[in-house]
Amino acid sequence: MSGEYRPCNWPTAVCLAMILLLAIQELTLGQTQPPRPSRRRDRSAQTPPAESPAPVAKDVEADRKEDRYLAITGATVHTITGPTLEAPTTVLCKNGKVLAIGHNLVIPDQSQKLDATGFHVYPGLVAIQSEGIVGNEPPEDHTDPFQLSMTLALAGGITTAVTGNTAAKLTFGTLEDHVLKRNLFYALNYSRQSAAERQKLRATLDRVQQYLRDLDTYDSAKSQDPSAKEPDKSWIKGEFDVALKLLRHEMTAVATAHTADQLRDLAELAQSYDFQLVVRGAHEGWIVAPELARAGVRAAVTPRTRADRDEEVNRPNGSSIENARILYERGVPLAIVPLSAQVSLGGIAGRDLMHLPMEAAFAVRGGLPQDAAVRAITIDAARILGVEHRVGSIEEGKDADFVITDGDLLHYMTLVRWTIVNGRVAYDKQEEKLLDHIRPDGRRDAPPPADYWPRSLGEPVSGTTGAPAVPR
Amino acid sequence: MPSSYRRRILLWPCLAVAALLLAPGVTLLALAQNADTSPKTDTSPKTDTAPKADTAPKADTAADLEAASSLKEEVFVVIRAGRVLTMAGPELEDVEIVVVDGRVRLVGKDLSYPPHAEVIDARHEVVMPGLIHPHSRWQLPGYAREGLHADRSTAKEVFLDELDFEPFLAAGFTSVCFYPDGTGVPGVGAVYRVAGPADRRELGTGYLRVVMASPGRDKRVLRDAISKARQEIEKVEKARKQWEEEQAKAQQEAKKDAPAEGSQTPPGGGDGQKPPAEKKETPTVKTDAPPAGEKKDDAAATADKPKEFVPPPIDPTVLAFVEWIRDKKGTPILYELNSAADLLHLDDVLRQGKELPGDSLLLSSSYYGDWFRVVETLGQRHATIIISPGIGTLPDTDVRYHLPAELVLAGCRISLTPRNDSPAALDQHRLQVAELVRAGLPRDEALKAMTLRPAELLRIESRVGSIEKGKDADLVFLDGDPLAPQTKVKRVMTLGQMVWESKQ
Repeated sequence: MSGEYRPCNWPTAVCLAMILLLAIQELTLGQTQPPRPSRRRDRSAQTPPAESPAPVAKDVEADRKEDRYLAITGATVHTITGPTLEAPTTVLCKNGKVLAIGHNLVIPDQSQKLDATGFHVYPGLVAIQSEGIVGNEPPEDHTDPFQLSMTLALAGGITTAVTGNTAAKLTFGTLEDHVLKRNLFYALNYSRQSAAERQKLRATLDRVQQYLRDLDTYDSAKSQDPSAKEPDKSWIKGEFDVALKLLRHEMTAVATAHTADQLRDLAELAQSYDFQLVVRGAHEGWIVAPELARAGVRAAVTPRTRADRDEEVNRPNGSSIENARILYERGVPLAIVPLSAQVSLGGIAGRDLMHLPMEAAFAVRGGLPQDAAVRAITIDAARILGVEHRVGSIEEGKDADFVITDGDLLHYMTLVRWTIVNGRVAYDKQEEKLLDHIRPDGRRDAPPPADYWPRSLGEPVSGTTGAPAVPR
Repeated sequence: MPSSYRRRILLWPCLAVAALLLAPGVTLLALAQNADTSPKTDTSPKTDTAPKADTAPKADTAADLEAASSLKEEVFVVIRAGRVLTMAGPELEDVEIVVVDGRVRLVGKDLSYPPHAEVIDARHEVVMPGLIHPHSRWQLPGYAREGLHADRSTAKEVFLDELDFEPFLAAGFTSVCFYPDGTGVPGVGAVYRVAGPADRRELGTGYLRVVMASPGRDKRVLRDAISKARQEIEKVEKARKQWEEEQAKAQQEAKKDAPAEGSQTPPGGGDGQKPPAEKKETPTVKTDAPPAGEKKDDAAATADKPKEFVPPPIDPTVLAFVEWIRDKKGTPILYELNSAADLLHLDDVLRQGKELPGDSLLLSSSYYGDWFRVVETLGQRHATIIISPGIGTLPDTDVRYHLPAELVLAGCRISLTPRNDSPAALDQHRLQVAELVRAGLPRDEALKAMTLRPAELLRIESRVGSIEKGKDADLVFLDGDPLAPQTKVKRVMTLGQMVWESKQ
């Protein structure tokens, strides 16, 4: 506070300080200017000096932007669409995409490394029905990327989920590259309850089909006859527009149907108008599997569904544990969904979205081949959403979405060790404090933990006795 | 040190000489007073193109006269304090604070002051700057707005006579910022002294409040605001171009009319390139949608050959955003977040408005939530943060998470706001903060978080928030350490005058 007593000294002090400041500024400026990236200097030396500097600056900017690498090493890699590569296989990702898969890959120094020796790498699972994992539509405005249910879904191996009519990634901790695809489906209303609705739909499809025929005629005629008139398309709006997109295979229809009658009706409609259709439910799909296959209908089934047989009906009915197998064998593309499309925090564990692989394992119990069951929660599910070019298998150029497990995906003891979304570790079992106390080293034969509830954060995970570790 | 200070100080030598000649008695203390009047004389040589020698002596004599006349009227108040928490340096023991005309002039030991000075004996008291409440709706009626209202001011809702600030004074608060109620962009705040002369209670507008508590609802509003602001800027640019073209055309025509002149001026040349004066009132240019009154003037205006470009009016509801995008500065913006995810959503929107500031945040539900997810991010950008004092328990765990301390450790500046607008919350505010200090928040930061930091956030730190030369004497007198539970507020001073005294 001595300065407060003698304010007369201030002017000189400030003058000195300003001179000093100026001198420092000049010095630092002089220092900072020369060491620009040397790469740029080289490039400008090669290029003629007359060239405008704009592209050079852009290049430098692009170079400066750091690439994000992730290398998963030592694992068994289940590519799904290709062979299963035995350990030790490396998967190298760059900026959220798979760059290379193979043995003895050169890993860039700056890449994040994940030693997955002894673990299995599968593509991230695709949940074609889900609730509450990502936010409402539009998800990029609603998702809470720190939400517990997202973490739990990741712990179940899921990397792609659906909200409303939009598919989104489970990008934990970030909103980057969150949305995968919008306008997934057109929901079809074609039930026997409302004859008027059925008639209306057929009329709409008929009219659009006629338009497409007229268009074909016009296309072939206009080369010979220049006076040919293009069919009027001013009326193609609203429902007609949707119908046109359906018939042109630009959009997929979806309908919920359980009984053989409903399924047969839908299959007939899809076949006669030739559009892509996904049926949800399909409990009695095993009865009409050939019809569904002929119409190219795809099915989202829940192998654990139970619908008792109605004894009063004189035909096969009810659910079957072999539903998935029969559909698969007849050639109906399958996706498997669990009973509850949510992550349940309320105690129906084992039936919710966290146990999607277990649901697939149930289908195996009904005779579905193991690899088909895995495909039904990965690539085939992605195909039904129309995102198979991005997710669902491990291929070079596709998204780096993986689930890394400590065993076979469909084994009931298997736990997810890491989940990778867009090349980022979105879930790490040993960091997340949810399941870290169970087999912390990934060994199946380890003794069961002394599990109890509630367990406190920071307590030792080994199950041994001892005072709780004091956090922080 | 603020730059304005530096400017003032440079003028001191000449003013000091003048003052020494005129008033040899108490010159030492009068120096700062002269400095206060100096900015008026300071600006004249900068803006004027007239020679310096002409104006400088005039200004000096004017300042001298003013100084001489004001000396007799100056009101000196001297506080003899047992302990002073200045917030600008170390804690001082047994010092005097000299207050002249409501402003702190000196803090130190054995100071000289005129005999007529009023002496306040606070040798058994602790003196600290008055607490600042950065986020209040004290006794204001609910008036929630939705959508985009950056032009609305909370000052229109505040009638100081109708508000009872007794609980504020009893808790040691001397300033308060009222915030606009609502969601989206509900408007700018209003900062007041809680007591003092009526004409000196206004302290500013504080901040523009932007709510990002429910991204699904609020992101759209902020996005609209940014895109609207860009449209407004584009509109002005378009009008300017049009005006320049018209000017060029008019020039060409003038030259055609003039005899024996074949040469053409380049388009957009001449005065079209000059930087336009923005604040002329005469309407001279066609806007996209000119008001009815302007159209009539148009013919006359073109006939008069307008000399200056007049930009079309900017939509006041987005003016604050236009200023940020165009000038890279403006009213501070405070974003109100509800959870860690909201920060990501905010950043998502600000990707379209990189010119906007993104580092002043209010974390509501602050001590209970998932803020630990973004503490590092907030620290990296040295965010300025308003939170309520409290230590949370993480969901499903027994871990006590000390968010304020973690934020400070990470590199943030925090302002602490009482938990709610009840008298009890105001009363217990110091205790809540004491709890934070006990659990690891640095004491120094905790005290600043109630005084200097909110002043900085509200851009009133040049006037209040600490005990420093030139700042307003808005002080609190306590009978002990401000964080001790036993301590009571004894007296409150604003602008050098006692405005409240404890009845106990």
